[in-house]
Formats: sequence, C-alpha cells, structure tokens
Amino acid sequence: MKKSEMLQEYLENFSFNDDTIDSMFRYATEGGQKIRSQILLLSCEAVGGDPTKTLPAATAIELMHKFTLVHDDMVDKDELRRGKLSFHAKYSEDYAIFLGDFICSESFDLLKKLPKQDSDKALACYDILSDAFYKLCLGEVTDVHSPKFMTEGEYLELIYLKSAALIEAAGKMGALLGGGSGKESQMLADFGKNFALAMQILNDVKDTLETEKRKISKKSSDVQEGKWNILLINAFEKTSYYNKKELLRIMNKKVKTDKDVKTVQRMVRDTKSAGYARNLAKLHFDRARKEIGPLKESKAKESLLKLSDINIDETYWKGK
Amino acid sequence: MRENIKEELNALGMGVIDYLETNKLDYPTNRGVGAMFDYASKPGHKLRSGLVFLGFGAVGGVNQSVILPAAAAIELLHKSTLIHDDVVDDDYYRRGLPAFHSKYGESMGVVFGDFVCASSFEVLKRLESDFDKATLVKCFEVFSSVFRDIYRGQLRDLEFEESSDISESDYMGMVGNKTGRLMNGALEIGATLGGGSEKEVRYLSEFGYNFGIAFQIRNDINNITIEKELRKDGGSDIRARKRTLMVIKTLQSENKGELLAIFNKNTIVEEDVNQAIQIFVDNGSIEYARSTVKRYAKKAKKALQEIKQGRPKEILLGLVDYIETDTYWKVHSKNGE
Repeated sequence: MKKSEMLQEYLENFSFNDDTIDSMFRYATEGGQKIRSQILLLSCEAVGGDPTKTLPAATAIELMHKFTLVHDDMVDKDELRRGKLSFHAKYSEDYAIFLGDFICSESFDLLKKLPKQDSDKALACYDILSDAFYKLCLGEVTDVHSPKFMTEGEYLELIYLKSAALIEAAGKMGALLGGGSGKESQMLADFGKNFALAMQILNDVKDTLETEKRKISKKSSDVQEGKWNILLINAFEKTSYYNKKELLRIMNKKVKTDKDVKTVQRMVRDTKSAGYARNLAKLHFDRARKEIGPLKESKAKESLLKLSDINIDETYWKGK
Repeated sequence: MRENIKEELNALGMGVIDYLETNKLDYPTNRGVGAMFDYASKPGHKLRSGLVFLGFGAVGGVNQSVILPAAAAIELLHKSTLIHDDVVDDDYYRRGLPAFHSKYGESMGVVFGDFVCASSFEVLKRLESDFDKATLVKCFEVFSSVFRDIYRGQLRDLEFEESSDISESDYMGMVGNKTGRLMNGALEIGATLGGGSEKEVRYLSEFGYNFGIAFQIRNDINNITIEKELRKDGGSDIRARKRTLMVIKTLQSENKGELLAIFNKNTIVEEDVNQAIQIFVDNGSIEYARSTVKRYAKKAKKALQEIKQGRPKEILLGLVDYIETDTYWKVHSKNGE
C-alpha cells in the first residue's frame, strides 16, 4: 500500500463516540498530500526501521499540521482550502477554535499508541513534538503581529518557525523511531528543514506568478494582505531609495488598489526577484539532498531524493 | 483554618509565578510576546497548580521545588483554555480585567492561546533531570490526555448550546471533561511525581474528578445567587444561555417552555435574568444543584479515605468544605468590572 493511503486509512479509523465530533474531525483532517507524515515514514525506513510501526507518530505530525490549518484559515479569514470550504466557514469560528485545539491534543495523545518502547525514545518524541508545536505557535504569533517590514534573515526565521520546524521534527522523529543514530537523525532533520524552506520559497514565487496571471483570484495575494515574502523583501533590498519608500507605503496601506499591486509587481520584475527566489529555493533543495547523501542507499532514500528534485526552472520559470 | 488554606494555596501559586518569572521561555523579546505572556499567565487563584503540589504532598513527596515545572505547566494549560474559552463565549472581562482577546484582538487571542498551550509542554519538559524516564513519560501521557479531554468537553459544550434536550449523565460527562479532568490530572501528575502507588494515584484522581464537578456546579450556582447580589455581571450565565445543571434540570420539567422563551429572545435583559432565576427557584433546580454539589463533595471526600493524614489531605478536604457551602470563593473582585 502506498504511504499516503496507509496514513489515510489510519486516520479514517479514528472515532470519538460522538457523531458530531467524528464528522468535524474527518472534515478537518482528510485530504492533502500528507507530505509531513510521509517524510516521517520515509526517514524511519531510510535508517532501516519499519514504517508501519510509526504510523501513530506520522499521524501525530500530520494532525499537528492540520490543527494549524484550522486556526490559520480562521485567523487569516481564508474561506476556501483546496477548493473546499475551510473548516470555520463550514462549521463556525467557535467550533474551529475548539476543534483545532482538539486535533492538536490528539496529536500528543497519539504518541502513547507507539509500540512499547524504551522511555528514552518516548520522551524524545514528546520533546520533538512539543518543540515543533512551540515553534509553530511562535511563528503564528509573529505573523498575526504582522511587522511593517522584515529582513530576509527575519523572514527565513519566520518560515522556519511556521513551516520548516514541523518537517524538521518529522525527519528527526522518523529516524529516531527507526533506530537511527544521533547523526542520522540530525541528517534527516536537516533534510526536512531545508526541503521545507525550499518549498515555502517556491510558494512565494507561485504567489507572485499567480497574481500576474490570474486577474480574478479568489485567494488574495501576499501584496494584498500586506504580508512580506522573499520576493518582496528582495525587491525592497535591491530597488531605489524612492521605490523602497513607495513599497513600504503600499505594503502597510489598509486597502491596496490594482495600481498598487501593479507597482509592486513592476518592482519585483525590475529587481529580478523571482529569479533570486528560485535560486534560493534551489540552494535549499541541494542542501537537503546533500544532507542525506551519506545515508546507506535504499528505496526510502531514493524517494526522499526524488521529493526534493523539483524542476524549478520548468515549473516556476514564467514571469522572470 | 479556611483562611489558612487560601493563604497556603496563594503561597504555592506565588511560587509558580516566581518560577515562570525567573525561568523565561525562549522567545524574541521585541514583539511584545513577553508582555502578552505575562498578561495571559499571571492572574488567577492558582487552584490547579496548587493541586499538583497537594497531590505530590499527599503521597509523601517532600521537595516541592522539583515539581515546580509540572505545577506551572498545569497552570499554563489552564490559562490557554481560558483565552480560547473567552473568545468563544464572547466574554470580554475575566476577573475584573479585560479578557486577553479584548486587549489584543481575537486573532491574537486564538494564536496566543495556542502559544500558551505550547509553552505548557515546554515547561513540563523541564522536569527532565529530576525524575526517572518512565515517570516522566507517564506525566506526558497524563498531561496530553488532560489536554484532549478538556477540548472534548468544550466541543460537547458547544453541541449542547444548540440542544434543549440534554440528559443529566451526558451533562455530567461534559463537565467532568471540561472542569474535572484538569483537576484530577493535576493531582495525578503530582502524585505520580511524588512516587505514589497506583492506588494512591487513583484515589487522588477520583477525588479531583468529583471535586472538579462539584466545583463547577458551585460556580454556576454562585453566578445566579451570590454573584447576582455582589457583581454587575452576576447572572451572566443566563445572558450567555449557558447550559448549567439548573438549566438542564429545568429543561426536563414542565417549566421548559418558559425558560426556552427567555433563551430564545434576541437580547436577554435584567428582567429576563430575574425571571429565569425565579423559574429555577420554583422548579427546585437550584436546590437540586446544591444537593448535587453535596453528592459529589461526598464522593470526593470518600475517595481520600485511604490517603494518609497530613496537611495536604487536610487542605483537600478543606477545599471540599468550601464549595459545599454557599460561600463566595472569588471574594477579591467584588465590583466585577
């Protein structure tokens, strides 16, 4: 069975003896690529472990992610997720708060379902999951605080907290449960971290491309939301003094006009910021692959390498 | 004796505040996180963290300072639930101060509640060096399941809001999760860290669960009796259409229609609150709630029978005495701003 199917099946077997909670839990947790939990399973396998025994941990990582989506969508007022109504839009904000919390708690509670193992490993799992939870939340707090400007360093730190820390945790926990050495665990953690950073940076490129291509976009772009991303930060750093002031002004305006958005797009183009971002993403993909280079050859290692072998130029080239 | 109990719990609570003050978590200092954390974590009567110490002491644990992280973690978990609870219930004040979300906004209320919850796990981790690993794993397991049961209770509570036909046992299950679970979890963790036997942990846990239910019902009674006389926001539960035991009991009686008529109004004014209270009185619902408090109080006391004598046990029993009678626990916020 494919890993994503294994995970789906595991999740579908959840029941809390309460129809309402069951259906809400299902709605909030179904679908998605399950990339985080797959990385956990692959990391376990890559150090010689049996991934079927780590399904509770993989699911814990996945649920931690789903919890952030439920709260995120609500806070960001995103009404759609993957073409479906987001959780709070379907049920209510009140349910979104408590169900998000419940999913998060279920994530921790799952760790005790791991096969009986030594206390050292169990403790390490709580440690890793709690660390990721803390970082995710700190990232969210920073995001809601919405700083008027961020340097590239601050931005990379933010996307590390908001998204890479959890994938780092997935790599680390997977290797640990698979019986990997401390060194292997570190390699897979760093793989996860760099892979996630690269993916996030590509997301920023996509955001810019989509704003250029689609006039009617349901999801508002980072510029419209006043959220700094790597392209906008690079544009700010490379552009003229006058443009810097203009960019700051637009980003911190309450409502952005079409003209504002076009002005920013021009700055992003003129500074070749998409190219800059693509290169930065490549750098992190390369680092990710290099990290796990020393691991013994295996199918799982192949899969991890393949995950991080995205043809950026082809997929993300249009719009210079 | 009673005043002593309060003072002792307060002193324990102050210890937790000091501990958090001197052992800050790792967060950036420039984004107001520190100020928000202080606002969210400081106030309150520290009953839950006190229960961790009492569970520890009741099984013979001596060096209280080693379990400070566990007590702080329980308190932080509790605080995180309050932040989210206030957002959901649209409560703008807590203990006379603006609720967290009234001060920092709803979005921040949601994500900072999460952050405080995550902090509770980070603080719990600090126990690590002082205990054997199996004990620590047990603590994390209990802590995680407490976390889960609280929100199970919260979700049930939301479901009940839309229902006018709730059985008493369903209701007790919800209260047990929402309020009782954190209290028995606090005692369980304290007793586990104190090296209590399986039996001792179970007795204390049972105490906490029953005490927690009695505590909640007592609070609900106070809201429409003593608080009604003392505070501007007295009777707020009726305005919020909260499902309390009094409401459940009344909804099962022939007075159901009258009460629902009030709850179905768009806005509930002072006169409606008074009328609802009168319905409760006429229906015997308040008396019933009082007797239920007594019933659970008795169960709680009985659970302690085989716990050895000592100050921790005395305090626990004293706490039960407190909530068995019509006294007002939150005396210090009379005006209820």
